[in-house]
Amino acid sequence: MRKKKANLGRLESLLVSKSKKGDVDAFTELIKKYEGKIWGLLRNVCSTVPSEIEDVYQETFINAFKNIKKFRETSNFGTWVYRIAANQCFMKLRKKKRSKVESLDAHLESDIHRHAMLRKLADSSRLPEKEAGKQEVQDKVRKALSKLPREYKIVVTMRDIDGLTNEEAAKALKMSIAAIKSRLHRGRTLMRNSLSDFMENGAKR
Amino acid sequence: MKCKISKKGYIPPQTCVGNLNKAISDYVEGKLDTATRKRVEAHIKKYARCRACVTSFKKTVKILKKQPKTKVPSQIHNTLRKKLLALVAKKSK
Repeated sequence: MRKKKANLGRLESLLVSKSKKGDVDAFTELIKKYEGKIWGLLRNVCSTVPSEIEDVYQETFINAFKNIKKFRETSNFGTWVYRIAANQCFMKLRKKKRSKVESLDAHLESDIHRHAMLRKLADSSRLPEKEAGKQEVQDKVRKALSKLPREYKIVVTMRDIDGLTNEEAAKALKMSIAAIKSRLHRGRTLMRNSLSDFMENGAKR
Repeated sequence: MKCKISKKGYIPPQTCVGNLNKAISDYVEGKLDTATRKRVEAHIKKYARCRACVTSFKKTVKILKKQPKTKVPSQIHNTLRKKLLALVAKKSK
């Protein structure tokens, strides 16, 4: 197991050094390794609008490629890209806050979200009960997560959904491990409170 | 260990397991040292409300960890690759 991890580390290191020389294929391999996690992070933290997630996702990897020579490999590539993604995401959110059309966006977003939910509901009615149950859980979790304050949302996503360690999340967000632990605890507590009715009802079924 | 939970009404989450509040996250992930873990276990064995609280916390973490990994829409790969190649071409000029 440890040997496999070491081999993966070596492979990543090789891909990073090739990427530093401008090798797009090597960089694409690196993207493949972390794309799902970065996409999930942006979807949970940054926006509910697919086109916006797409923009930030692309900006993240383009910035990573442009700056890969600055990556000193003191952490793994994933942690470094996470930091870029988080920065891009916060920048986007700040811009959005400043924007005068924010309220219009919010309406639009909630409309899009509502339509997406309705579509999902319509789809779930055709799914077998077990699958619909899973879909229901996912929707509840996403809804609860979207209500969390940003600082908790990003830590809960990184730690619990993406599976980063406290140390990796601390590096990615440039925070102390104690701060990560504290935010994670608060975030989980808020999630627990949001999901409590659902968990109780679910247990009765 | 003193339990701060009120016997009636809503239980504020921060007083969930009394003084061990901050240890819950580490406890549910099995990251506590033996001594602290034993203290938590003794405490939740004694207080049903704390037990319920820790159980719901555990469930929450389990649900979160079981969330499916999201897939990136396939058309994005091509667009991103084109942009990266354009970037390299621009640099080499």
